[in-house]
Amino acid sequence: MNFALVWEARWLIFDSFLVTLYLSACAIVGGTVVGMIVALLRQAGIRSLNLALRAYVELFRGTPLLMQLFFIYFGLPLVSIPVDRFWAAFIALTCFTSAYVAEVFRSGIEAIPRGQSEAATALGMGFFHRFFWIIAPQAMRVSLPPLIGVYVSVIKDTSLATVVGYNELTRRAMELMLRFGHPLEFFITVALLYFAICYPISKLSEALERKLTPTAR
Amino acid sequence: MIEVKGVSKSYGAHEVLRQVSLEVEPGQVVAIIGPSGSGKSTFLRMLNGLEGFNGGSIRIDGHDLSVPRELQQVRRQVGMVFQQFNLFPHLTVGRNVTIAQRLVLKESKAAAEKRARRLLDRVELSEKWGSYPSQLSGGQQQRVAIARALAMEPKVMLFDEATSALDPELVGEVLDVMRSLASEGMTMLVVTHEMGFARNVADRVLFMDGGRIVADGPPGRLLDNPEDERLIQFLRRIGNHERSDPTPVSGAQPA
Ligand SMILES: Nc1ncnc2c1ncn2[C@@H]1O[C@H](COP(=O)(O)OP(=O)(O)O)[C@@H](O)[C@H]1O
Ligand SMILES: [Mg+2]
Repeated sequence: MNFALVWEARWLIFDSFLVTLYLSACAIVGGTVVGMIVALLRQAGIRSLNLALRAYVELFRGTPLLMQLFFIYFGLPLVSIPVDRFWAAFIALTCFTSAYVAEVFRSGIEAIPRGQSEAATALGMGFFHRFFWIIAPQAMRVSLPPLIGVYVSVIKDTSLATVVGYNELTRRAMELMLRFGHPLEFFITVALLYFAICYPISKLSEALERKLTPTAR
Repeated sequence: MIEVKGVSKSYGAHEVLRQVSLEVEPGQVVAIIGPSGSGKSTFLRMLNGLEGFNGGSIRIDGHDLSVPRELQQVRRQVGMVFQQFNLFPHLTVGRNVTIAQRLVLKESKAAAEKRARRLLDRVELSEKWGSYPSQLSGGQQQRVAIARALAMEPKVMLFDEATSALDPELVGEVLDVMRSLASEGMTMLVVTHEMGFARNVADRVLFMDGGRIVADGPPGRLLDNPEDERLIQFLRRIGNHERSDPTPVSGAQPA
């Protein structure tokens, strides 16, 4: 084992570590926003819309993220939508994440007793007021632990953006290995970096779950 | 105040309400009794648009409930109190009572809080302003729910078995609030199993059975000299003992 090489490449690795964090953050924010919108629209109870949204969710949950990356990176330019490596990775990860987020929110919303929505309606609150002030905050509480689970997966899945040539942590490790050899040293280092982000977040989710469960009705 | 004409409601082939008509004067307190499944809740929920109806018409304070634009108007004027309280568990007591004032009536924060404090004071819960619903007893929660509904300054209040989910010793405190509301001239429709309340507070009692209003009259006549055979059976079944007892209501004295 020769970690001196790794140490020498530390700034290159750190740089791509930041890139991974950035892509993760973008995908998480994008996926959460889109997922919330999907969950909200599903509450409207319009049949054709529901069908379309379900198809969207099932499509992105039912196909490999790797394929989605390829389709977006190679496919969108074919229909004259230019995407660079970042945008391809961002769009694919956002769609993929939003499908899971939408499902987490949906089951969170379904866990809220009907009486909540009825009481709000009886007070004269309209659809958006009910959703944003009454239903969503309660659903959020129920959904938080599984949501964080989704986020952890997303952080790990950003490594797949390697295939479209986006320069995140995993790709950087591969480049370094090709240049200097010593694959184990580089990959152990990179794996530890992923672990260093994901493990605390998983623990946080467990702690939240413990904290939220006893007070949940 | 309330004008219901020939209203029906079915779920699929199951007819829950059949040609129900009713007129309620302002300030009238109407108790609705009847066996479970007779359509009492459905009828009440129809009056603020929580359920649609298939035929007939409903007007509340001049607003036609079948016109979608008027529905919002009606909901502001009709307060509802549920068996399960349905307080918002993620909001404090104070926020429970102010939120709809802020969002629906567009009241300023100060005005909404002032009204909320006055109403919570009135149900004797002003010290619970910052508590969450889960920290309150059932009776306290239901009193907050009443304050929450009153905060919209409704002209009509609907109570759907407001005391049925409460421990017996907590029933009295909620009935007391309802009684004082009645004495101030609020128009009230009260689905209840509390015969004491029906007898002593209501101006009028409706007996529903099989989706119809089978009997309608002042409590004295309806409860003490019932004529309808089904009403007689119903009263016997629930043990209508308090016939000539003038000082009322199971649990009227708060514990
Ligand atoms: N959403 C619904 N779908 C189908 N049937 C319903 C629904 N809500 C109520 N019912 C039926 O309507 C009838 C009247 O119910 P309800 O109004 O709750 O009666 P009550 O309040 O007098 O007990 C019952 O037979 C009940 O099963
Ligand atoms: Mg009922």
